[in-house]
Amino acid sequence: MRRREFLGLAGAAVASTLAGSLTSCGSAGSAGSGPIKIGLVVHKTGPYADTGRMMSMGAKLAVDAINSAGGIKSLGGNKIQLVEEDAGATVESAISAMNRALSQGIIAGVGTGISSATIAITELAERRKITWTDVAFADELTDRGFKYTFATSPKTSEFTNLFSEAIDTLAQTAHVDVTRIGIIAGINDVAVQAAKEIKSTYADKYGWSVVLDETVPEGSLKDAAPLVSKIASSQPQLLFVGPAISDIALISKGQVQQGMTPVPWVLSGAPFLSGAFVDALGAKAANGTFAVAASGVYKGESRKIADKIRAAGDDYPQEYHLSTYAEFFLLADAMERAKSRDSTKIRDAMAETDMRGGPASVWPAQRMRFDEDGRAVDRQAALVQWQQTKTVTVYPEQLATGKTIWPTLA
Amino acid sequence: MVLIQALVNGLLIGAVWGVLGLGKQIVLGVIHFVNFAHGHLVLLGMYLTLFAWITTGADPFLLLPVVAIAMVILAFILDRLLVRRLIKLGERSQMIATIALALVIENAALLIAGPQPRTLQNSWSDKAVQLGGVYLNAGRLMGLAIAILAFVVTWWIITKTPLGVMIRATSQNRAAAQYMGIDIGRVYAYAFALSVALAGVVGSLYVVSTPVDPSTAWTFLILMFIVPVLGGLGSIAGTFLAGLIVGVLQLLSTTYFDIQLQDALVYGVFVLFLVVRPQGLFGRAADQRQVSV
Amino acid sequence: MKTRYWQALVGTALLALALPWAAYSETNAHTAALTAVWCLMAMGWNIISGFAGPLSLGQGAFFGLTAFSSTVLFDRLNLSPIFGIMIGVAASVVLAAAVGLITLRLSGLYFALATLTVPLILGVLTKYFGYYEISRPYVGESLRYLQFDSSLNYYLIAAILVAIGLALTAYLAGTRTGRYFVAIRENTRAAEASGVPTARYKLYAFLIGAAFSAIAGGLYSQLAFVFNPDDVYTPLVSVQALLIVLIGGPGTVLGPLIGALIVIPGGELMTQHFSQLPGLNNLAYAAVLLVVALFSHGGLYPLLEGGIGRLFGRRAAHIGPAVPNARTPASTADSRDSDATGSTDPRSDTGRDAAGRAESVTQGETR
Repeated sequence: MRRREFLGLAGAAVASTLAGSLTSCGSAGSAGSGPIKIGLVVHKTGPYADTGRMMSMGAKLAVDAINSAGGIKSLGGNKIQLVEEDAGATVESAISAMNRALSQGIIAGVGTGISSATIAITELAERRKITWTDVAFADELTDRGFKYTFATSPKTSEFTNLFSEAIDTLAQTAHVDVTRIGIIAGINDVAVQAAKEIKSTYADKYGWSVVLDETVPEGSLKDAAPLVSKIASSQPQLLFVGPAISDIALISKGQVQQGMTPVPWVLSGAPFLSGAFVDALGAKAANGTFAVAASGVYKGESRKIADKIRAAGDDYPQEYHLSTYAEFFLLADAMERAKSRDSTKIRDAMAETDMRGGPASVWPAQRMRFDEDGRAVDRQAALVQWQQTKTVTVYPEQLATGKTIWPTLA
Repeated sequence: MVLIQALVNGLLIGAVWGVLGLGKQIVLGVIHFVNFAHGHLVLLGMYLTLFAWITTGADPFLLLPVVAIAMVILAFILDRLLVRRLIKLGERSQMIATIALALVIENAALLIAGPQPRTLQNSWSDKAVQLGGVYLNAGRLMGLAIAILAFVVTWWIITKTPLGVMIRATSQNRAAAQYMGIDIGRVYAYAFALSVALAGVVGSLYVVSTPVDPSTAWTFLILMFIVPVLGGLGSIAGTFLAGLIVGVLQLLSTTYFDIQLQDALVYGVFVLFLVVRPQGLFGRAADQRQVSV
Repeated sequence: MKTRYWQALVGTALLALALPWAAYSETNAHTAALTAVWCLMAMGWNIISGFAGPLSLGQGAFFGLTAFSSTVLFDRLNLSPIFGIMIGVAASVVLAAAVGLITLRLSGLYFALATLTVPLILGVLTKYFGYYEISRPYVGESLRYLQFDSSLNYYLIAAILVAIGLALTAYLAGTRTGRYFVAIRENTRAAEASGVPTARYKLYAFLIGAAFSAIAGGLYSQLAFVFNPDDVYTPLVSVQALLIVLIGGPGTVLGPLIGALIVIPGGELMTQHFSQLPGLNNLAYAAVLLVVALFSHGGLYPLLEGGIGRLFGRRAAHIGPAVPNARTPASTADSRDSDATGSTDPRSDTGRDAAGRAESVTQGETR
């Protein structure tokens, strides 16, 4: 009897909150005045939560910087208000997050940094005519003929070309003859495509022979001994691409245990530039490893941005912080030129973006323009090297913050 | 040589799966408690070890008893708040509540420790012992020793101590055990504590070689069910052996097949085994428990 | 009119009542559509595990297979997802037949774990053959390709399917097949003894359940835009179905809908209100689950039904699990099962006798 009564009351309470929230959450539409709402849909829970943490940090720093410099001047000096939603662990939750952000009246947005979720939410952005920009790589982002999607990164299909060329250039500069490479790919769009293209095209082009070719699903390695044996017998000079940090740590430590100098990696992606990576491998195993990213810290302005990120508590400023930071400035710049909150006008202004220096200095070209598809025009890859416990941008060389230390194998 | 390397390393990682299975075995096969959160208790063990290491800087293997004791205390709290009631309420409630418990642990870890993968830096994981051309990871070798110790202690508790007698009696016939004056609630509390302590041990062993983040727990979800069932419900020795078999199977598939198919192979062998010998390696047919809703 | 048809009617009314709410905003429409899709998924689980008894942890296999077929056939062959879903459902039923023939003779936990591995194996193979992160081609607004600007359209489609599903479940419960399902769940041995071909009818339940879950997966992939093997073949998909039905009331017509109405909008509500810190929403959601687990044994539907019955001054008739034992209304299903097939509930007072019988039954079942 008592329990039933309790449940009845609890039910009534739940019903009333439900009703309350329904009336409060539907107030969509962009008002003509007040703060300018920009969405940030990033993964704050689930397996990609660390990328979300970094992007969120970059976004907050950018919004603070824009607002303290007087907001969007052509829109009456109105301030930007960040509407942040958690994209969760799946594409389903990312779409729900996007819907929540849209219902709060955002007029542009950034996210999610992860290809599959970004492909999904940009479809919603397209349907609602909301300008969206992100650092995710997938070709599909800009191959669908979308007008409202702007990708600041190189395409997956060009990425291999870019980093193969970069590695070859660096090796030549260091007078090292790279002949034997190994591939240990993860299962994601970038890594698998990279592995495929290295085998089919770039190995021939740069005179590499592929002596090891394995695919390791992210996080699936329980013990690296068999792989380490294969590395020991095939003796590659570099290992291309990679699964998750935990797998790479097991492989590298396995090499250390067997008295080998860990074979340095050429890693496709920014997660390998975080402090967690050097923690997991240790300075010795991480040393000499290259990671390829869409943006990085170079000489000049980008160093100031990097300092802000360090001051905010992350010792390793990298693509996810930096690109997100700069993307907010791209949106602010477009709004400034659009002189309107009208979504099509913001989109048109965004398409005409030509930002040089300033926040755009996080990109290797030091410039950001978009082509007809909404993809960055001057796309290059930044190559960052782990030197002891520091990350040093080593390519493109004219912007490098340090010299490549070509890893020597014992 | 490659074969021996694979077999030996399979045994080393398999010992960890053996302890994972043991902890699960005690709740599943002995007190018949459906616990979806066992993998998350392992996660908790990993974070506790990490936390203890950050505060003291001591060797992770020295911290293991501390972690185990902390887990036992936690188990008694959980028993008071939750498990005791859930055992009365039946399997449906157990499933819902332990899924909720898993969510609580994962998200509490996210709130407190953040989403970054964290690594316990230790010299164990960089060292290896070389035995006739086969490299044995020092951390894993130490893990094997501790896993065997955990197995022996568990086996001893269950088969030799008065508590073990009570646990077994209760698992076989609760009513009769009660008539003989056994305090059922306490027996279950101790058995659950043992299970949680073993989860803590797995966490300590695992975190020595692998970085941990809040979503790590799901890697244990399937293994924690497969190992005790493969070993035979209620069988302590069978479970440990099943853990070793799973480890060897994983390493053999990594060595001789595609790593991508590693999991599929393990699951395939498991299903095949279920169909051919559903009572597990050491189980008796009578031990099969019906779980249904 | 029979209670079960009332349940189907009440369910349809609820779906219609939700329409203005869903039409209010796109967030609501999307939540409503997801609720209906997960309800379909849960109905599939309810047929096999709620009505007929065997605990399936592999419904995600059928869900994922149709998500795969509807997206990949659209992307590679430009085949409308409508046909993709039909093909997926057919493939799922074939898969269910194969899995069922091998595993349904296993008892309880063994069947549960065998089915648990099926979606995982499918996930590994799908990725091995290079199918991941596949997005559904964008065609704008098109009924033919099931693509709409507003999720409200998805809600309408899914809600109609749920209403049909409710009617089918209600009808099924009244047929001989449905009564056989319940007989198998209540006491497999007794059912067998009284001439029910239990193996065949368990397989029927598995096939019907697979079809429901497959349709859900097909609609889900339309809502998610992108096919990601890790998203649909994770054990969490099957667990979600289980959670919904357990909360709503297993073995009842209305249970999956009530469960889905709590779980999906509830989760969304938590996310809307507890987004201050990452993970807080999941903690709040977990707290609700704990309350449900501790206070609503046997699901919310029987509880609601009891409440409504008292409102009208009579005891409502039960078509689902009856509640003969007032002391522990929740665990009756479990203790009944223990009578039948083994000591599920270690604290049930069935004692030695049941365990003895369990031995013969399980041997008969698995050998």
